[in-house]
Amino acid sequence: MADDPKDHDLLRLNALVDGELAPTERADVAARLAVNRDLARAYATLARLKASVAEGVAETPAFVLPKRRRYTIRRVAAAAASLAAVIGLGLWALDTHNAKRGDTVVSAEGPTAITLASLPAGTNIPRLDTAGLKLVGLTIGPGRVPLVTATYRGPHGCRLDLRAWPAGAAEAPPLPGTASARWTAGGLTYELTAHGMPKWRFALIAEGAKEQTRSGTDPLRAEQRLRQANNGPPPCVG
Amino acid sequence: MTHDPHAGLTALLPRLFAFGLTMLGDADAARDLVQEAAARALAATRVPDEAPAYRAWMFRIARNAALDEIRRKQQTVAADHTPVDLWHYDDRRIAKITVDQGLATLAPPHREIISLIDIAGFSYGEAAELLGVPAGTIMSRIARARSALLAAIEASSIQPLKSRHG
Repeated sequence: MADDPKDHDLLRLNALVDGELAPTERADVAARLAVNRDLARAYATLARLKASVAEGVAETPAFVLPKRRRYTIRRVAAAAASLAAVIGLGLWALDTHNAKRGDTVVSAEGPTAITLASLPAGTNIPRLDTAGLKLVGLTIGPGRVPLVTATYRGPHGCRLDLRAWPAGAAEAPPLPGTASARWTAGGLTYELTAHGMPKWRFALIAEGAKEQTRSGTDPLRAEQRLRQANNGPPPCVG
Repeated sequence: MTHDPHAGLTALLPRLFAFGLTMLGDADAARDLVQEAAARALAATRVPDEAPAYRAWMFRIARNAALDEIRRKQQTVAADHTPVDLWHYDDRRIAKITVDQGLATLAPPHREIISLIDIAGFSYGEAAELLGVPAGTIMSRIARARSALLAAIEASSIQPLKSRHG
């Protein structure tokens, strides 16, 4: 590139703009700039270009960094203590205007029914409304894997499936999806599966859901994750 | 007190995002890229201790992820613009909108070097180490990339608004 004298100047002008010239060379180029109009103009163009590129840095979205693995074992008892509150939280997410018969709630979009009394101990059904996702279905299968399956839907076609089964028990059969997250809390293995959702949004929602299933975590933090997930363009279409 | 090797990660996120945005040309993809790079970094067992090395390491992770994504998408070949005469360039064409559009049409290597030098703020030496090439190569690469960007801006049909005086 530097065979042509102009090419050599071009390299040096770029280096000058980037502050990469040694002091003596910088002084030499500066002296030439003072007397060579074309060179000065080219320098101004490069400086303006560099400034415009740097200025073009877009507003950074919020990021939630994944947690590093912790080596603490949470007590099942602690999870059990949060059971009552969390069951209430999960069921609150169901549309309370839906038909209720005894302790059975029918979801808005399907015939799926749940029996409150049969929810397994330690099961936490996260509420994802803040992220724009409504709990539309919840099934339980006592003695089966998965023990609990919850379905969430958003207004733009997003769908999430949450499954839970006793930690250490046989694995639930694989569920197809575009992304999934798995964690253990309160003696249960949880698995959240997305269908067609951007990965960044899913990561935030999974973090929020995880927070809610664990005892002793800050509910505001979960809320923050879910709110961040709801920012930006529609998550899913179709 | 325990030392957190990732203490500087949050501060790097804006530059990593800008790098991803320039490389991939799409905000959602850039966001995914940064998220993925951060996840990879946090899962790593060996993490550079010193800030400059950590920064270079993070950008290397992001760069590899970006190149993977570009390969996966098999993005179309960049437009080949007529070289410009830098010595008589009408730099009133240079504005945020024309620069953004011009960057999007550049070949990935040009976008990469401009991102590293002008957006991430690496020195030639740091960029050379990151890319595994001599510093002189960085000097010629950035000069070529900027010339290509100026040509792309000149080829653009967008004209920045003239500023009003008086």
